[in-house]
Amino acid sequence: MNDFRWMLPAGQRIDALAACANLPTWGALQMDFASALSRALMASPAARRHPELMALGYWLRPGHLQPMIERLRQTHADAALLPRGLVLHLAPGNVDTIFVYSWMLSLLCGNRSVVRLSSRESTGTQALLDVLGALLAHPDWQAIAQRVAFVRYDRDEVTTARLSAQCDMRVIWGGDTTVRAVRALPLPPHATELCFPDKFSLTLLRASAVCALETAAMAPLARSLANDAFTFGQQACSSPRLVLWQGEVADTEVARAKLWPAVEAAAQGTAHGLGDAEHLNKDVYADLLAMDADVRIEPGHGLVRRVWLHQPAVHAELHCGGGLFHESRIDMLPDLLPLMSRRIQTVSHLGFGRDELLAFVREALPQGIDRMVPIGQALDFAPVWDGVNLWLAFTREIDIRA
Amino acid sequence: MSADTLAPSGPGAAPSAAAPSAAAPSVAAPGAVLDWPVYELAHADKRMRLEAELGALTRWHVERCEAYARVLQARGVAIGEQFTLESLPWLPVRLFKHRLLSSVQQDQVFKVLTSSGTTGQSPSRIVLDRTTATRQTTALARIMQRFVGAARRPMLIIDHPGVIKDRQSFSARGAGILGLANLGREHVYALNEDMSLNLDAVQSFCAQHAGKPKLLFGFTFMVWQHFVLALEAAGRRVDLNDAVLIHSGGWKKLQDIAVDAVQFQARVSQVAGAVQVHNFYGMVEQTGSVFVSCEHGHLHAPAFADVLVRDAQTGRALPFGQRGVLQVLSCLPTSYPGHSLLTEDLGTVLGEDDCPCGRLGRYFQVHGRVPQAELRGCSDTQPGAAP
Repeated sequence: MNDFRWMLPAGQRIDALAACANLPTWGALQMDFASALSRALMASPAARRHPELMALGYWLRPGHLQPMIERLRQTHADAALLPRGLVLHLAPGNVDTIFVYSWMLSLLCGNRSVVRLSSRESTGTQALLDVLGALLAHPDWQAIAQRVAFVRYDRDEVTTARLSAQCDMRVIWGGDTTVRAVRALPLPPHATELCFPDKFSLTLLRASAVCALETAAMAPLARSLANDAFTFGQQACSSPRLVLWQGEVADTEVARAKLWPAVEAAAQGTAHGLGDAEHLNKDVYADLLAMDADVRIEPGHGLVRRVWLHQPAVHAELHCGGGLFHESRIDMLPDLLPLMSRRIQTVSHLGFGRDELLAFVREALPQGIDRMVPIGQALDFAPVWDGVNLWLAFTREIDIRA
Repeated sequence: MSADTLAPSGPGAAPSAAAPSAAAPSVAAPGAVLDWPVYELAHADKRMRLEAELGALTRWHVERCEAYARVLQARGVAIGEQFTLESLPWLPVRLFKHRLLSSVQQDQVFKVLTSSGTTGQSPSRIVLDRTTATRQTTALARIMQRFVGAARRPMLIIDHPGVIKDRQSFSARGAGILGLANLGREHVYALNEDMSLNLDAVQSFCAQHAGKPKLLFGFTFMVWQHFVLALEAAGRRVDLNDAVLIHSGGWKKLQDIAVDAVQFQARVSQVAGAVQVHNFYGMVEQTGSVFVSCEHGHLHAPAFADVLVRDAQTGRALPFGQRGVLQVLSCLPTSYPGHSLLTEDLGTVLGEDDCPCGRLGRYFQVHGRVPQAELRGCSDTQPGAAP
């Protein structure tokens, strides 16, 4: 067990965790803990420096969680939903906060959790662990602390195998390589598994809608797109990497000329931690794409690098993130269909109504697309993720008849 | 490669029958560029020559390397324009790790150089035909002769002989040694296969050539680790007075243990006597046109190569004195589009034509690699589980 470290809580042991009882599904104790974590995040000066931690704090507040749980209680009023037991979460390296969402949903459903954190250290993760550590050390939250372990370890398949052998459910957040490698490690026969492999996300803009925007409305739109793309250095699965325009050529050209300078300006305030390496990367990947596909590399050397695709397509392998945008145009919504492989996750959009999008997916039956959300909400976590309702996935139902 | 390829125009250097238009680079007259006086071209003259030559090379590769042409077309580069050093298109050097970029027919390929690359990355692959290989060898000789003289010196190679055994799969290390080996005679390898110091071999080399000029070559870290430190550990000194030590391969590992050029020179002198040390900066993607450090520790651009510094984000060329990403230019490559490359090294151009050592041309400093961004891709989540 090279480099194996118990991060939190102090003194936790895997056998104690395995022997501990579950908590009631959607129980009051867990709801109270979620509120306490929300308050602690909002009050932490270190956490306040990270917008994604504030989003987490906001997500955990009672005003947001309570109505969701209430709805669940109503829709499942007659059902006996129980926790699954011990859940192993393998957290991703690209988004600091995912492990908390994964763990909190599992906890709210009453489960115990082992959370394997990415080996990538960041100030965001550290701030989060500091807040969690203080909370879990508090006597009020001993029942929570007994039911979780945050661990870190490097290059050790044996440890993942050993943890997997003890769990009732395994959740893999990671790339295809990770998912493939972890899936090769056996689970107990009764255990279930959730996998969140590599995904590709895009933004769909109705050109005429952008043309119609007042000048004053461009900055907020650009800020939304910049937030979606740059918050995690364009490395989150839901960060848009392709911008697709729907509409006439003329409208598209007008809209592009309005949008991109505004996005560049907005990115100056949003993009943190992009250095020389990312800028060099973007040039490498733009050039590689140019060798394979008919493209135009747009001039301009700001944070935003754009490559226009003469043929709309998803080039997931030739994209490095960090502020690189593939861009193209389609005539009509149905032209999306050939691009929508199972790999497509989030379509953040502007200028489309819900009915129109619903009609499109019902008629076209795309292989992919997990979410269609307004621009600016691409990174918002939701308990229905990649097509899975996590509230239900973290529980099991007992069929009771009399 | 035999010693006779030291001559400026070997048999492989004959002009291609398919030599194009009036804009052809001097591949049509292979001696021309290499006959430029290595450190005697003043900036106005050098700029004029380089701009013509490198512009012609750009068009040369556009006509011969489809991938290169596609990139320039995608960027909207007007091929017909007269490029300045600053406006000349460049390729990111890392492209050679992703794609095999060739400007020659398959049957003209003489060998493919590879670099070891950093861990986890594919190596660079550089396609050489005989013409380019010969130009590289000649260029290296022209440069090095300015530091070691025209006569071949007895040569001690600070490496083990196994590194050049397999000539089909030249590593950059093997190619570097073979390139430099042309400058010497009576070669002796200072290390055993297990990288331990072959003290007997070194001592007999010293004894045999005592009082005569000698040439030493090795990669920076190996010279330090397996020669200087090994001699120190053994408590031995050797007599390498009148030797010139040429070393390359980067200071990264030595910077990590806080050894700089001054200390390097001092410790070499302590164990080996009055040795004149010259570092050079070069890369497998531009073999031959290396940048050698002078007595003042400045790296110098030879006549047929040059260096610029750019801002990584904007791509703008930066004035002398400012730190940025190094772009290297070389008139040598005709078999692959590597005449203008943006490296991933940080550096500063210190000046031009006014180094106190008297050599003309730009002189500069390398600060090391661009700090790599942390991997934030999803695939980083389970490094232990990845194959």
